[in-house]
Amino acid sequence: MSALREGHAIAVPLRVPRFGLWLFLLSESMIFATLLSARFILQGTYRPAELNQALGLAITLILLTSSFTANRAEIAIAHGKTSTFLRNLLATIILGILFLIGVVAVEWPEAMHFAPPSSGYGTVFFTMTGMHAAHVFSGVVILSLIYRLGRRGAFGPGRMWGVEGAVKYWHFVDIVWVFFYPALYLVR
Amino acid sequence: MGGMPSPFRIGMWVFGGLLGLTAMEIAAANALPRPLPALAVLGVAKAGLILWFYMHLHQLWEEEE
Repeated sequence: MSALREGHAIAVPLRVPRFGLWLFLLSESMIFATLLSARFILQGTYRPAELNQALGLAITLILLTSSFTANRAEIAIAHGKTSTFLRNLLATIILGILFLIGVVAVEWPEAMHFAPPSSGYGTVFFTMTGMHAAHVFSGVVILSLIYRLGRRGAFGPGRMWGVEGAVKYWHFVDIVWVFFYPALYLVR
Repeated sequence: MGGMPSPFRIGMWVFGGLLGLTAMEIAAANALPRPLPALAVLGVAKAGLILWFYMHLHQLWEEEE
């Protein structure tokens, strides 16, 4: 307490913000688990035959690849490889934007014929993809801020909590899609 | 490749595993009359790979370096 009063920085062990982030992700997962269960309670395993399977697979591969590049970015900065870090982080951001374009600009217009309120499946489809896309968008914004800070040399070995936290959030968004993709496109 | 730190290589193997499991999901969806249980298992396996190797879940109960 006296250190606080005197304005000294207090070293917080990294496990404290890590634990906080995991709690946040756990609370977020409740939202997505609710949406996932609502999909099966309201619609069973029904899915319309007209769903664009190729697009669903393409955006899934894009998001999985973005997790791969995000992981590479995190490892690179932990090893002090700033240019590799920035390159992979930029690739992650671009893949995130491509995912958003695939969902919002391509998939949604195609799926308008079962848009709510005329179709129960449309209600769960647009709610689930919309909520997920909002999280992808926020992830892209966070990663862009990290990229900007990274270009200024803010991160390096031993000072990379910002990178770690942003990348963990990005992987979480990927995990959500790991469950949403089969629930929306593959079950029958 | 030879000079890459091993976490890079682990990351590549995990990515390959995720792609393989996705291929299995599509195969299960096309081959099985009721694919939901298989898709659930494959989804949990993919999430587990990401949680353990990409999100480093194990850090929660490890001593800080």
